[in-house]
This record gives sequence, structure tokens and C-alpha cells, in this order.
Amino acid sequence: MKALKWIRVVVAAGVFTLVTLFFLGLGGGCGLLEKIQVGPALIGITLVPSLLIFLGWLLVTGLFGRVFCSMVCPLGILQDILGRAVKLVRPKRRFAPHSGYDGFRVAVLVAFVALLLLQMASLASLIEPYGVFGRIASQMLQPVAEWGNNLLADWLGTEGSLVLFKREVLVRSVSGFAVAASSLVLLLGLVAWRGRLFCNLVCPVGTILWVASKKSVFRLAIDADTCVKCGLCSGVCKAECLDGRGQTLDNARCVRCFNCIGACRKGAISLKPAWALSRKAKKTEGRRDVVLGLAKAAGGVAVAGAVLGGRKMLGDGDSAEVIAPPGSLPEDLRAKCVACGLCVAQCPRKVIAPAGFSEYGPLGFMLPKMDFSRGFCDPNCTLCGEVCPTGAILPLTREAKKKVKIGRATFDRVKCLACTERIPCGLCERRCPQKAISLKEEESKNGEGKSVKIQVPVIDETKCTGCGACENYCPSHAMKVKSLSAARA
Amino acid sequence: MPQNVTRRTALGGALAAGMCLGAGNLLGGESAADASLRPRVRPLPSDGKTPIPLLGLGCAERFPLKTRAGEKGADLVYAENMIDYALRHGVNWLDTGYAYHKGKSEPFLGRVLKKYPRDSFMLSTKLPTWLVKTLDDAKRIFEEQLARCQVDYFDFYLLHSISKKSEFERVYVKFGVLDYLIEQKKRGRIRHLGMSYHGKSDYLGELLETYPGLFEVCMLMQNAMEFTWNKDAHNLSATAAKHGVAVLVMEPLAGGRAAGLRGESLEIIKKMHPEDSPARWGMRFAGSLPGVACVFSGMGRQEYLKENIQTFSDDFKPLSAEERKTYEAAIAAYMKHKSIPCTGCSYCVPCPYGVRIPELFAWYNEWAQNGRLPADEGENDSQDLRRRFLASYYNTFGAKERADRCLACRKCLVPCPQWTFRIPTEMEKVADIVARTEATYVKKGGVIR
Repeated sequence: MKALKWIRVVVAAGVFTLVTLFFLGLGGGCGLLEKIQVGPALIGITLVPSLLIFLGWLLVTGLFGRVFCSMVCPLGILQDILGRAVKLVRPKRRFAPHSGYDGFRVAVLVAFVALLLLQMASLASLIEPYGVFGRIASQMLQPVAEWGNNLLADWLGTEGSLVLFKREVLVRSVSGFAVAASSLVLLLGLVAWRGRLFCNLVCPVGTILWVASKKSVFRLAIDADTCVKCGLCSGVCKAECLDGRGQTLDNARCVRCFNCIGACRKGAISLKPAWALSRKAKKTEGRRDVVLGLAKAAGGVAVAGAVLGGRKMLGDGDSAEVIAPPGSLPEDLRAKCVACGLCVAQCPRKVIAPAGFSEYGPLGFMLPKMDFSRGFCDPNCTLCGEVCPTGAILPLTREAKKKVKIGRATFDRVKCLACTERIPCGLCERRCPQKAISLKEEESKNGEGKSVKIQVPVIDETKCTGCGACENYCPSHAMKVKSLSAARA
Repeated sequence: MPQNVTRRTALGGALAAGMCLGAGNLLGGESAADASLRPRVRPLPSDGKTPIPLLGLGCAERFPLKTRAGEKGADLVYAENMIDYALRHGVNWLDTGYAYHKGKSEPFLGRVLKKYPRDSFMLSTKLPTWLVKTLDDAKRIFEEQLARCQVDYFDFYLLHSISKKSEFERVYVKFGVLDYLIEQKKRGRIRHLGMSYHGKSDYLGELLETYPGLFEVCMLMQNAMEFTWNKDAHNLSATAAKHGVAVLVMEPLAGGRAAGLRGESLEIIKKMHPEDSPARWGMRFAGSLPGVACVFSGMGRQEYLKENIQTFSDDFKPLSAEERKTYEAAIAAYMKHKSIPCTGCSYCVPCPYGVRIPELFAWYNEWAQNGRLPADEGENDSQDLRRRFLASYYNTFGAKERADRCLACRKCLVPCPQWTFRIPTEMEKVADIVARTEATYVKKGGVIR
């Protein structure tokens, strides 16, 4: 039985490493683990794969309890890592069991679901564990990793067998960084104070799995005959659901870390099928106050309603100006994006950036938008849709990506160097990957009044996909990609 | 520290004084043989008396650079030590220009040379032709140069980068700049007039015939590489020599590239003289050309200076016909690989759109050597070479500094003294080979990660 804890630790370490590496965008890691998270699956539940993943996790939880929370959820594992760090500072800290805050957590879950239904996913994502972790990884860890990559690239040079490409070290958005940093600090505070309190108080995924694990087939149980009521197990239970002296264990709040099994000197705690348990061990804690729970749930709905009112008041920003990543529309992002930043981290040309407070409206901050100042959207690249776990950005095939329109290039004569300074530039024409720009010869007067020929760009709208190459290359901002809806108006 | 400076300054002054008296001096740290080495000295052909050393110190873009990480620009402490060393060893002609080191070369020399008596060194600088739009510009620049260099006369004053007749006629004849400079010469603020010339040999002949005796020196780009890609180049020194004008060689090593021979080309010269470096060969080649009075070199390290002094010392031997043939064969082997004949003079800097022109060309030339160009350009193409080529490119140049940002505005063509190639055309070639390499590197429909 004691092996269970070590299995948990090894699996968690592997999962955490792979998930984090993928977020660093330097080529390593495993994108599959991002795809099987419960939160994104719930948000994208209208898609068949997401539905299957969600149902699959309900089944697993119904069988074994909340193994997801300790082995697969990156934020759960991060909390365990932070807990380790806290323990280095306070080696004697002990946890104390309590009876949970069931009404409150249900209310939070109701508010979360209501926000999703009201298409305010980025606000809901503030407490969605995968999104929270994603922002910490992409906003805070990625710049550090890129910096390290560059040091290594310098050190390796170009002569050896191993050669690295340097990355631009960027903190992509101040607001995104602030959200990530404050959630990390809050999380550290909660971990230092009460262990996995986040998972049993706020986390909507935790609450769903809490319901699913109530009658799980395999349960942790204390054998009353071997137990000496020493209370060592309670001290190590970071979910604070185990009362060793009272010999009770709340399997629904248990995150299956198996630390109690490791701590028990008598081997009194074990994972057993429900049918093998005595009646006393089966009995969980006292009845919940259903009425109070419902009242709090109503409170959750009220919170969501108030936020909706706020959104109506603040507006949705100027979606005519903002360009969503290829394979998505602003509506999709509002409904489904958890703002994890994975598309931002993975975009090889650093075109995708987190939005500020204006583009998608104040409640749509951190949603991904296209920013052509650093690069343009490569017609051959389909990464953002491939990695998105919620389906906010739908995957495109290479063939579809080459043709998909994400915006429309517009040309402003007043700023064009060819028109104003009669420089034979034509850079937009040479760099357009779609060959959608041609140069038209026009007559113009130069400074001395002589007639000279200038080359003026003309955009072929049937070919233009709005990839932003012209905007990115134009030295005088004469080329600007606008959203398709703005172009129609 | 102030104590130190004072001591060094005093020491420098004493040394210079010692040198003027012609006293051989043994200095701390240098062996007797080193200290007594001097470049050969000959009189200036036009007046028959001004002593001209065969080696001069170029103060253009090749001052020693700071080498420590995070530091950029010239290492001026090192450069000052080098100038002190040069003056101790009879390399007493320093050549600078208004535009060199982004305008910092002249003030730097002014500061360093102040500690030496004015007659212990010769100073030449140049009027930046491309910046002169009116006569007042020329007057202002000339006065500024005297002030910057902290001198009241220049030993030599050169018209910088003459190449086109139209430009010469406009700036020097129509604006009256030439008359102004002749007047300055009469006032003694210029001892000798000259020019640095980058055009074709027939116009040089025409100029020297039109103004006989006016130009006493002519600075020319003369090296074996230049001779390969510019068939007219060897006529230049011959033309000057024919008119009795002293030839001053600039870029004897083609921006340092002739010092960096390797592979096949290096083997060819090593077979003949195993001890001699490519730099020594290049210097001997330049010094053997007709009419050469002085070879200028911008030397980034003290070792180079030392080696060059030795090359041009009293036992300097011009290249024999056989040696010259060997050297030209080595250069031909080097030139087999396409390179861009940019010398890195940096007159084009800064590009208004941020393209790092000389660095990009130097980078390209580095890869062009020994067939290290990937894609369909070289014989050694491989996925590994492509990766290293692209990593080197992307790691060296930021997104907005690369060749594909050149919009061919042609502003760089005004100051560029080269006429065998045009910057925007070459820039598009560099952008093109990078794009082709990337297309083959990522294979079918991928992106660089």
C-alpha cells in the first residue's frame, strides 16, 4: 500500500514536467496532457472529444476518487510543490481536519458555470485550475526559460553539433503577468495556510470531482482495529479531510495523495473496494444542510448575473478592430477560452498576444489576439489550433490554413513611402506570401515639380488572407490588417 | 589613478621628444630588437623632403573593440596604448576622417595626440564629400575638424570618396570648395592636399591632368581581392604613379578578409613561405604596387601593428614575380566562393530602416567561405549546415535588422564608396538565400520552431 504514494509522486512529477515543458514553447513536452484536463473539457463539452474526456474523468473518479487532482492537474501538482517548499521553511507544520465548506463551493461552481453560459470564459478562468496554471507557466516561466535558452545558445555557438535558435525574451502583457503573479502569490498563501484549500473551496473542477467521488468504488478507509488514534495521518492530510482521532475520512474531499498511508505506522489506512468495508467505515460525515447549499447556489447565480450586468455596462470592446487567431472568432474566445496562454507560448512567430482591456472589452482581457508588430501569421503554421485544449481555436488542416481568412489588409496612401517620398519600396509586394499585392505605376510630381513614376501597392482581396506580412514589413505603417467585420462595414 | 595618468602622459611626452632627437631608446617590457624596429622612411615625391613612413595608422572603423560581454564599441584605452606604441616605433602618420567611428575618431585622436609635440606626428583627415551641400557646409566641417583634432593645421587634407565627375564638379568646382581649400593651404592650415578615390581609372587620369600638381597624394583601395572583382583597380595606382602622385593604400587587407585566408588558399601561400601569415603577404602585395608611398591599415590588435612594422621595416622586400603569382593564386582560390566585396567601412550606417548593412555582409562572407552556404549555393549542403546557418542568422540579427527589411530606398548608395556592387541588390540576395534555406530546412509545410 505504501507504494501508492510513490506511484503518485512519480506520475505527478512526470506529468508536471511534460505539461510545463510544453508551455515553455521550446520544443519539448507533451501537448496531449493539456488536452485531457477536466476544466477545458467541461468548457468545450459541445465537442465530442471534450465530452468523452469529461465523461472519462467522471468514470475514473467514480472508480478511484480524485486521482486527477494529485496526478494530472498541473495546478494541483504545483500546489504540492509549493507545499514542499513551505515545509522546508516550517518543517513542523501540521494540518487540522475540518468538515469542509460544501455550500460555498457549490455556490462557486454555480457561478462558474453561469459565467461560461454567459460567454465570459476569461473571467471564469480566473479560478479554473488549468487556466491559472497556464498563465503562470506562459507569462512567468516562459520568459525565464527563453532567457536560459539564449544563454545556452550563445554558449553553444554555431560550430558544434548542437545548435539552438535564440528566442525573443518577452513578457507578453502587463495585465496577464499581473494576473499570473497575483494568482501565484494567492495560491502560495493558501498552500502555506491550509494546504489544498483551493481545491476544496474554490476550484470548480475540484467541486465536480468532489460530487463524482462521493460514492467512488475504491475508497480510503481506516481500519478501526489496528488504528491507535495517534493522529499522525491528520497531520499530513493537506486536504484536511481526515480525522485520525475520530477515525473518519471524507473520501470526497480526499485528493488521493496517499500521504496518510505513508504516515501511518500501523498500516491501518488502505485503499479498498466499497464492498469490502465495514458499515462504520462506509459512513461518511454527517448530513449536509441541503437548504443552505441551495441558498448559496442561488448566490452564485446572483454573482454571475451581476457580472453580466457589468459586462453590458462596460461593453464588448471594439471587436471590429481586434483580430482573433486563425480558426477562431471573438465570440468563440469569449465563450470558450480559458486564457491559459498556450497558443501565445507556442506561436513560433510571436504573433499571438494576450489582449488588454480594450480589444475584446474589459471582461475579455488576456484573450488571445493577433499582433503583427513582431511577425506575421505563417500560412504553413497550424499550431495554435492544434494545441488549444478547449476548442476556442479550432484546428485547421495545412490546406485549410493556407486559405483561411483571418482579416483583411488595408492600404493607406497617406503613409506609404512610395506615395509620399517616392521611394521605390515595394516591400509589401515582395514579402506577401499569398502574392496578393501588386504594384501599379502612377505618375507623381517630385520635390522639384518634375513628373516621376511611382509604384503604388494594390491589394487583391480575393487572395489576401490577412496574415499580416505586409503590416509587419511596412516601415511606415501604411499597411494595416483589419478584422473581416470591420472590412464589411 | 590621476597619478598614473600623469605619469603616463609625461612618459609619452618624453618618448616623443626622444624620438624627435632620433635617439634610439630601450623601453621597459620590449626587447631591444622590437624597440629598434621602424618602418622604412622615404621622402614624399612631390616635395622630395617630407619623410613618409611606409606604414601608416588608419583610424577608420577598425579601432580595437571591447571584448568583454555586454560592452560595445571601441576600446579607447587599448587604442590609445596602441597609438603610443605606434608613435614610439616611427609609425607617425595617422589617418582619420570626419565620419570615422560615427564622428568619434577625430576627437579621440585630438585628445590622444595633444600630449605629443605637433611636429612629432603627421595627421591627415578628409572632407566628407557626400555631406557637403553648400560651401558653408565645407567651411563649417573644416573648422570643426581642426577643433576636434585640437590642431591648427593638417599635414594632409583629403577630399573624401571621389568617384563621379558630376559630384566632383558640383561640390568642389560649382560650390567653390576647392578654391576654399587651396586658400586654406596658402594660409598654412593644410600642408598637402589629396583625395581618396573610388571611381574608375580614366576619370582619375582626367582629374590629375586637369589639376596638375594640386593633389600630392591619392588614397586608393588596393588589394588582391579588389583586383579580382574590379578589373580596373590595378590601373588606378599606375595612373597615379604616372602623374607623380604618391599612392596611399587603403584597405590593403580588404577589411581584414585577406588576413583570414583559410583552407585551400592558406595552403597555397604556406607552401611557399611556411612562416609568413596571410596578413604579411597582403601587406607586401600592397607595398609592392607602383608609386606606393604609404600603406594605411586599421589595426585592431597590437600584435597586428607589431607584425606590420616588421613587414615594412628596412628589410622590406617587394613581392617577386613568382611570389605575386602565388599570392594571386591563393586569392583566386579564396574568391571562388561568392562573397560581397564590402569592406565594412560603415559609411552607410545607420540605415534609416535599421538594417545592419556591413554586419550582414560580413556575416554572409564568413559563411560563403569554404563552401559553407547551404541550399543550392554550396556543395556542402546538409540539414545540419542549414540549421547552423539559420541559427547563426537569426541569433545574430534581430527581426528588424535583417536583410529582408531592406526596402531598397537607396539612401545607402550615396555614402557607399563601392561601385562594383549595390547594397540593395546584394541585400536582396542575402534575404533570398536565407528564405530558400528556410524553405528547404523546414521541408514540406512546417515552421521554424
